[in-house]
Amino acid sequence: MSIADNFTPIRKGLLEFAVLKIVAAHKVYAADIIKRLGATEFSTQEGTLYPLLSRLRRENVVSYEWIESGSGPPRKYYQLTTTGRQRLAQLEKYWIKLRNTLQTMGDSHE
Amino acid sequence: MNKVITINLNGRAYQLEEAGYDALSKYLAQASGKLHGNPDCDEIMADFEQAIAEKCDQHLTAHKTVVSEKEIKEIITAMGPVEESESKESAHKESKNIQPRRLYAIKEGAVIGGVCRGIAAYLNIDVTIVRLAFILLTIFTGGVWILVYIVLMLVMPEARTPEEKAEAHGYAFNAQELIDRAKTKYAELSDENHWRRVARENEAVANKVASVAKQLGIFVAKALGLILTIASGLLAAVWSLSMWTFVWRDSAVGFGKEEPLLMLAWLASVFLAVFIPMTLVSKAFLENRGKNVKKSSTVGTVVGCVLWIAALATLLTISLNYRHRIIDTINHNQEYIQIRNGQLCVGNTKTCKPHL
Repeated sequence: MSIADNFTPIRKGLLEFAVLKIVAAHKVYAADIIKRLGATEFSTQEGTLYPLLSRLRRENVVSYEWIESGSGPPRKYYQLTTTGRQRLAQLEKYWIKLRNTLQTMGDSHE
Repeated sequence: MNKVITINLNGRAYQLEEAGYDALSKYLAQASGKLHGNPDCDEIMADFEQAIAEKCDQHLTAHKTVVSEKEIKEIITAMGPVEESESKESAHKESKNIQPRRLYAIKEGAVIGGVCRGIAAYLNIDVTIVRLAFILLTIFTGGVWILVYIVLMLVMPEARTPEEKAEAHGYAFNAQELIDRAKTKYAELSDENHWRRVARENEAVANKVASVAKQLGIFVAKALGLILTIASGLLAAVWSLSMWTFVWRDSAVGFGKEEPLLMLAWLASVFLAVFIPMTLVSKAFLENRGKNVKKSSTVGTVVGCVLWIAALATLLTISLNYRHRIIDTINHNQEYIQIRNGQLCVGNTKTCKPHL
């Protein structure tokens, strides 16, 4: 078991954060997201991503529109909603907080 | 040359090898089952089909119009299993639709009346445990539990209609639930690994049962052997002791003093008849404590058995040949024990005691 396996639940929990950041940057469709994530530690599969995107859409965090593509059927392109931008900001703040806590953990001499 | 099946993925036709089609429909059935309860189930399934279609396109050219089984399996591996996306709301939801259960007797797979099966379904525990509990209760109540069982058999209604059967297990009986269960069951049944696992588990159970039965058999055989040898040894001892009493007594009848050789043979036979079984039995138990079985012990065992039979035969012969003497002794002793004039007189010496 590599050390990466120890952090699998953490990566699972942070996947939403990673996806939101990607969607915030550009209008993307699902295969795009998978490709971008594939280059990172958050590499994931359609079986995981599609249900996640669907839930985010249900929570009105992302929305999509159908855009014709030259080669094949139309695709869903995702973007952040206002709620989504708020959620992302909250996640960013919380993430920094967690990181700082872990960084200074064990330093105090109380 | 194999069969090709044409499917519709999000409005476009794709041609799959038959085996690939089977794998794909199994994958989609599993996915659909996992998404049961998800309000976007249909939409997600459509997304899946779209993704699969796009991946298939990568394998198709003007000259290659069929997606092979291998390519389909690669696609399925790339797609990955469907994972439920946890959110604050869904974390609380139970995916199983459990309605209030009702206690029915279930005839499918029942041994006698389906009582144990019904109780197991109601309590959601394994049938074997319920059956075991019933057997133990029967033993501990000395059979009274059998009456309880009969009462249960008469009182518990049998689940006949499908609705009743569903209620017995606590499943919601509606079309959606049935379809989803059928889908997961189909996916399960067509999964090779599932069958391999089932076969392995059954094999393990069969092996365990066989080894337990074998050990039980060995134990019973050993116990029987032990009992037989001890019993015969004891019998020989008791018999010879009583013979001794009759024969060696300081009485008119007896060959002990007159025929010393005969007495010697008698003694030797008694000794062997008792000693040999005891030796063999203790040896057998020693061997089973893990010590190595030497070849010589087999010969020793055979010799011992032969000697033992010879000893028993000798005892028998002597007793038979001298049976009239033995009977005379008995009669003689009976004569000696008389009640004369209210007094108990024993033996030749005419010692008499007041008869109580």
